[in-house]
Amino acid sequence: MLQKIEENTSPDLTQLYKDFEEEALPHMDALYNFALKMTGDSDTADDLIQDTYMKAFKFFDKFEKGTNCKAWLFRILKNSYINDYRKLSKQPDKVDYDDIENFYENIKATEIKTSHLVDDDFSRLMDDDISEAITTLPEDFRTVIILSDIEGFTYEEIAEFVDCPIGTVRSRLHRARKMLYTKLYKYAEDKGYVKSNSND
Amino acid sequence: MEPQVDIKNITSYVDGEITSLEESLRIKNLIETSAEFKFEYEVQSGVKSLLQERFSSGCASFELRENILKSLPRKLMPLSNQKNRL
Repeated sequence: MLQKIEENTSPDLTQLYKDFEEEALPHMDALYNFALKMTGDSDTADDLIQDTYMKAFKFFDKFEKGTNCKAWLFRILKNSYINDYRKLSKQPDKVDYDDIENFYENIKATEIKTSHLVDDDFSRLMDDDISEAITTLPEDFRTVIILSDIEGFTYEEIAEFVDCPIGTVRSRLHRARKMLYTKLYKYAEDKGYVKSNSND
Repeated sequence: MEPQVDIKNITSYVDGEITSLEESLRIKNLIETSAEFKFEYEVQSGVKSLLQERFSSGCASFELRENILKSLPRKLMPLSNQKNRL
């Protein structure tokens, strides 16, 4: 691709393409993962990523080489998502933390009593089940759990990304995992992977 | 009397965000001795592991990469000199 561009462009622009390919393109998978989980639709995620990279290239001369390009791209993606894509997102009904808290406490009481381990039960769930469970989380919670558990961002990086204190990031992450656990537990229960004893 | 440990510190512990060795050991001990802390630890670490295992690999399509590269503008636009600001 770069070779084709070089035939028709100035040396400055060729260098810009080269830098862009080296710095920005390697983060496309991470951005796509995030976009897909936020929008819940592969076509919308494709459009969001394309839009993000067009904007990134347009402003690439503002990017300071050697700084965190991944975080810079994620900020562009976040702004595009909020401004242009949030309303278009195909998302199932959101779970409410207060609604789910009672169910979680019931599971907790049962699991502590029976010393039952959950890992094996959840390992049988399909990726689609887990993806759907993620997309039902409220946006604030979904954002932190994707950035932390899938993309490996630190609390400090997430705090900068969502513009809130580190304590809030930790609190949202704690709740997000509890919500996701409860959703997955219900799926596993429906599929018969765990015994239906949470309401005993 | 030892200071109480907030249950949410389990989350920081799972994510390697506890900087104090003393605090880290206190939480580890609670996980080993308290059923409630053990359960919370299993929930937090279990969900994190599940997401890492299932979704950490990339999934952007080859077509998307090609489309993006083909769509890059052919001329440079003059822009401000301020770095990393949008």
